[in-house]
Amino acid sequence: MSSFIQYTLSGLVTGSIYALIALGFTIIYKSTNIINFAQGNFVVLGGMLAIYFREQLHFDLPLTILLSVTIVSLISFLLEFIAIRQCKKRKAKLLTLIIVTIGAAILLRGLAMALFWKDPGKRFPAFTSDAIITIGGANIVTQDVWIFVVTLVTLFLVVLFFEFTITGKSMKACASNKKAAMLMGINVEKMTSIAFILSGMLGAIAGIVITPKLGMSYDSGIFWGIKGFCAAVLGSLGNLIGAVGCGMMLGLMEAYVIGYGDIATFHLFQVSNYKELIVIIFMLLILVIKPEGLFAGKTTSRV
Amino acid sequence: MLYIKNLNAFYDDIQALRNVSLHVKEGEIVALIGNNGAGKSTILNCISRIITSVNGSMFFRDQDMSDLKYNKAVDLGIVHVPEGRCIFPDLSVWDNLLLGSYSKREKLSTCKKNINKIFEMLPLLRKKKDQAGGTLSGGEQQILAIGRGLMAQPEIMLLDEPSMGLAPIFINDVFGILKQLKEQGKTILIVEQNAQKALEIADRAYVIETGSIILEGDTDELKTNQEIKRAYLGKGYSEIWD
Ligand SMILES: Nc1ncnc2c1ncn2[C@@H]1O[C@H](COP(=O)(O)OP(=O)(O)OP(=O)(O)O)[C@@H](O)[C@H]1O
Ligand SMILES: [Mg+2]
Repeated sequence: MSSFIQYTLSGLVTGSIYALIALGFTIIYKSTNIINFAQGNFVVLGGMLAIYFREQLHFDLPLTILLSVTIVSLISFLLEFIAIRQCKKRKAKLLTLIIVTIGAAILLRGLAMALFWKDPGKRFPAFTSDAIITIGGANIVTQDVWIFVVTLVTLFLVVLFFEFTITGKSMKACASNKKAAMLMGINVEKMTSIAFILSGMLGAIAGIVITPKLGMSYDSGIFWGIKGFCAAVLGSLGNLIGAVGCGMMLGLMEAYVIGYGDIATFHLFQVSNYKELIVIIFMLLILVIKPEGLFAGKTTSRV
Repeated sequence: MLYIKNLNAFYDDIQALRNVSLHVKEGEIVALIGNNGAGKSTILNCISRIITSVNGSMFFRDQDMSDLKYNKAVDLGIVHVPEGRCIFPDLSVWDNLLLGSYSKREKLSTCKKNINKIFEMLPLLRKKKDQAGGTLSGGEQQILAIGRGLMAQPEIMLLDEPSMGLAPIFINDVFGILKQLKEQGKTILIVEQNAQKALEIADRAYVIETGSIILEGDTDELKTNQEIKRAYLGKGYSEIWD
């Protein structure tokens, strides 16, 4: 029983990070129909900037978080403002825009390596202490609690923003029917900028909270990006709740494969070593059975 | 109030409007009639600044509209209820109306009051206020689209085929609403294929064919015009063929 709780808790912690990244994908997709493949690099930049500010410049934690989040949001804003908007003005196709984000991902990866370091093991200390907390026989570190709490608060604020603020509602309106949104006097370009800023923020937050636990390497953008992308697709691309739910689910699945995979296969295969592969196969299976994702059907149409 | 002179509009290389000139005076209802593909919607899209690849002069009151961005046009009170209604399908009726007043930047309490005013005028919407816009019937969606347009407190309202695809009973409802708006002294530019209905309600009308205005005048005159009768007023007037 205690091992089950252990796997569940660690699944929820990784799942939280996936959920934050998936939400970043979803927000940009909803407002522009673009899949932003630089989303994983926002996570990397958030983490690396935090290490830099904390370890090399010795800033305190709040300032570190503030600066890292601001810089990453600014990068995300500029990605849209400089690259994507200009391509759109020249009537680029959607596919071209998505390729632009892949280009941006490669560029940001290079920049992270050139400006910072290649050492993958760097990290900064946990937010509060390294103390271990025991829940129902399972052990977690305090940083896990931070990851979970920060994620929940962030998700809650994002939902509040979309459901109860006029800016949030007008962003939904832009996603729902762009022409009508324009005719309401909603500045669609401005809403797109806000979507990118918000996604940058979410990516940076994910990177900052996970780095004390796992460290952050310049080249792990793809890893984080794919996890978040999978969760977003599984959650019926464009559905905020779906993205969060499937992010958590993905984290739990990985944890259970690591925890029970070997036992379930009588130690014939080293299943836990292939958790990525197993989870991806499982995800593909779900998509074959239900191509529209697990959270489709609630919204009527997507214009 | 609205003056347009020698307007030309383009979709890539195709010219959709040629030297269109028209005006709408304060408090007037002006109809724009013409067949499919004549360029009626294009004219409205030019006025609301959704289409910007245009040349010619456009003035709203004393303001030159040539460099106006679409959201600023709404701020000026140019409110366009588009063809095909374009409501927000996954937002509630209430949120659709709320976003209608986006350009006003009012306090939520004022918005609520205004939404209630719309409910008084269009009681059907009150019953459906929590329903997703996309689940309304076509006629209900049209009424929602008009209500949403009114939330912007238009100086001039551009209505694109409000009766399109509606059952006769809903067409009467829609024109009933328009009559009310007329009595309130609202300024409206309405595009219609239902020329008969449009001519009944409008003070003046323009007839457009393949991107050019071919006729204009008071509706009383146009109603008796043989050409109009034949081309736009349809089968009820078949006697003039004899
Ligand atoms: N987005 C577009 N791209 C290219 N051509 C267009 C576009 N929109 C309209 N057109 C063309 O411009 C012309 C005028 O179209 P418009 O939509 O203004 O006609 P309309 O009078 O509103 O017709 P309807 O009664 O069918 O709504 C048509 O020939 C149409 O094919
Ligand atoms: Mg039209």
